[in-house]
Amino acid sequence: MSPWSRRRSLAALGALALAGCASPAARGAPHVVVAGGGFGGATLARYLRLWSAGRVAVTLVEREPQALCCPMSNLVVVGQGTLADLTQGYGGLTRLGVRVVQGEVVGVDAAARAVRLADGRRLAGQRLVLAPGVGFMTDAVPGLALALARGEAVQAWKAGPETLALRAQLAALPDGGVVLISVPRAPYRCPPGPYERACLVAEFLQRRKPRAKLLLRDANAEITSKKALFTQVFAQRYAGVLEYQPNTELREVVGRTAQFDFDAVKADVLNLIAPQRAGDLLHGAGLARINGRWADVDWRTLALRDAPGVHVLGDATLAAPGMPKSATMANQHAKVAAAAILAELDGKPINPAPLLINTCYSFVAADAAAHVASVHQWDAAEATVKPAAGAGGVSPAASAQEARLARAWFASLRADSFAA
Amino acid sequence: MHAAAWLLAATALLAAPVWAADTAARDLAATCAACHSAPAGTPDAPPLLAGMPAPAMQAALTAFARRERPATVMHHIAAGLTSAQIALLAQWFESAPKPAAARQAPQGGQENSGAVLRFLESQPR
Repeated sequence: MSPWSRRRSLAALGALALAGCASPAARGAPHVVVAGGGFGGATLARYLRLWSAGRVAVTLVEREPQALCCPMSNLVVVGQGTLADLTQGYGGLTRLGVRVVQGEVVGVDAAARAVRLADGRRLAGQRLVLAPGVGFMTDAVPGLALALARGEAVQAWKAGPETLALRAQLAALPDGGVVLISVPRAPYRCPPGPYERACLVAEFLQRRKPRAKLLLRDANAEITSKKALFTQVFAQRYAGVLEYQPNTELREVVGRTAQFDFDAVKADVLNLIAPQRAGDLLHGAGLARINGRWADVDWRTLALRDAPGVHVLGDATLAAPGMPKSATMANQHAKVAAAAILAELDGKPINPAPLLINTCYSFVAADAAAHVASVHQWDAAEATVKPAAGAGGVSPAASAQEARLARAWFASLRADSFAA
Repeated sequence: MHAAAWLLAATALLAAPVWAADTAARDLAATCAACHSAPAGTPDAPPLLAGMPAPAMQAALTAFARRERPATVMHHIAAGLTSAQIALLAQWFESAPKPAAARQAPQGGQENSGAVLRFLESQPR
């Protein structure tokens, strides 16, 4: 390196360190633009800053002023905790020098690795990372969008106002009333999530509305995650209050009535979770190429296969075999992507064999939880990541100990992802 | 050879496109951080791993993988790691700096060392 270029890089480093959010386009520092400040986007921003020792400038664009975490949100639905417990600021990332921009991405220019914001701003970098989470296909079921708009049905599948709306509806449920939870066809965000919610709502009904019933209607042929555990819990803890029915897909919604193939269900609370696809910004940009729903990425880099320099993380990807759409997995995607982006910016080879580890906890009651874990190793022959043979598994039973571990897991995942 | 030329040659070697072992270890270790980064004082938190002696961590992970050691979740994870990956992780964490937050937090060191001991000592559930 010539003394001149060395001096220039040191000046760039100094400027970044001093200003924190110095204009990244200036001074020649590589710049990465990240759209979406959930677990994936935040983790990516954090690890790019840490691993480059501040040498790479990172701009994180997020619509909301703070993140609302989905893990633990089912507890809030049944009154165990508040939205404040799920709220995560971006101060930790800002202190690491990430430039956090609040704004809504309305356009993606993949060729220029740029995004356009609703207020007209344009952000471009050497790399563009899209982490939009999931979008909801509410138009896929006739009447669903209208019922959701009118508040006759609620999804509460992203933490926020709908979480509180569902909680309020449950609190107002007459004893002897009916709650319906409808599970969309996989893949959807958080495979065990609907069954966790069913358990917690069933427990809530047992305690507060003992004559009420919960119908859990599942578009899938069976419970899609932690099947043995939930089957056992449904039968043992919630017999008589929870009725589970697989192979039952929501077909239409009219008022407070949900139509299935063979019957109609009139319920007091309709928690109808819509089928899902990659978040709207990805879908709108035509980058969700798999069935028009999910992004097709190379698992060694998380780069889109047909858009060089554009990476997609988290729930928006077409998952590799056995890979859940989870906050932990988005965190792990981000680390693979951060390492690959830095290697490429340095002109070095990427990690030839990435590893990802997933651990997720589900509550089956307010004081009992269980985990599912899996390890995903690169398989060169199949050019994908696959669950490691003989590894992974589910807790044999839910326990109070794992409920405590679940809370520690949540704290750790937030700290690791958001520099909290 | 002129000293400056030597320096240039050495720099070129260091920058040669070889995927460095320390990056491999760094990337592996980052997978653990999702669960092993709880702020000091978090009840029931898995231990922070930085600074653990390598032989002890290697033995612990190997025992978890063989189900010779009680665990709630670590047996599910360790069984998915190759012995080479376990060795790399153990070496990395032994020399990894402790996170600033853990060092600065009052009593954090004490609690973390307790968690480390629980991790390293076989303990009935």
